[in-house]
Amino acid sequence: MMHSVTPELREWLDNLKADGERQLSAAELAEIIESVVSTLHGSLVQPAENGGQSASADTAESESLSADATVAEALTALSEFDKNGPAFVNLSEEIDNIRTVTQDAANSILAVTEDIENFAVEDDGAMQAAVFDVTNAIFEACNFQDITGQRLTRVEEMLRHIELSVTRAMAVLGDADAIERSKELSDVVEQEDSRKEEHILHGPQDAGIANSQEEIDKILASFD
Amino acid sequence: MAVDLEMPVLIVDDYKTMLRIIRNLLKQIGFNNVDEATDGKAALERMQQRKYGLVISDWNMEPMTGLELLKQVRVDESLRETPFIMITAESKTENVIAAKEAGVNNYIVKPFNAATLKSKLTSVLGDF
Repeated sequence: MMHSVTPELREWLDNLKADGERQLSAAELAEIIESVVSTLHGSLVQPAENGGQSASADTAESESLSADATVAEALTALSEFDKNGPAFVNLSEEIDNIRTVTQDAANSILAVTEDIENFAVEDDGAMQAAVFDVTNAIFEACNFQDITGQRLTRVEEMLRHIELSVTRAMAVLGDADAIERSKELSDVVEQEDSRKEEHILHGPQDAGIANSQEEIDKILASFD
Repeated sequence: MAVDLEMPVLIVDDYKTMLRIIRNLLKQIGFNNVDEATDGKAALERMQQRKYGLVISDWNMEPMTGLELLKQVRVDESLRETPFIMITAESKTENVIAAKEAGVNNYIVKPFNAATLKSKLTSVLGDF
């Protein structure tokens, strides 16, 4: 694998080759090794600039530095991927917007449905029953807003967990802002987790895992 | 004895949309005297001011959950006989058992339909 060397080192090596009889002193040898390692290190931490090549004879320290640099770069990119501001904060705002929009939509549907029902209240006969069947179906369908709202809350909690992991890793790599932010997040996440455990909160379950109404009725009946 | 449709009913949920849905479904059945609260603490305060014939409550609310409300109601001498139905997305067995042990009269899992609500009301209060 070829690595470019600095012009100074190249000149020095060429002179040594030309003067093949001369023996190197220990100090000269050390200087050459240091210079070569420095060149290798440059190619390790900046692989892209070297066409993606990596050194085959890396030292453990160089590998570690390279990994740290790569991880730091990835974490920074993850936390700043949204150009409009802090990514995790923006994601939370987007989720809030979805919650508000769906809530407004559900309330608009309910308001219209209530108006329809009010027209039917005047009628005591078959028309009222037919209208109530339809409006019932609409009320039932609007359950979605509560369920999606709870699922969005769960997504927000998951995001906080991911943000905490990212900021903790950035803090370990020396990001001063991340140290403070990870402390704040850690408190929030800890409180959320402990509340969920204390109050037995799981939120909506996926079909197949959740107990159906029929299964719940059986559990209740087992107490009789 | 037929159910008194004029009795005050308290519905408790932190989602206003859900309060509206339950209120409308109760209205269709004939209950018109319905009050609302958005968490257990507010519900308890209301219950201490007015005698309710039925409480229908969600579970997951802050600062006081529906389960905490139920426990508070059951230890209060003046409130302990109030029929209490939980309507919640918490469908795990441990939740149902915890609610039953705390004294819940019935348990409806979200999303629910009008027929289920009416059936549970009949089970708790009697025929309409």
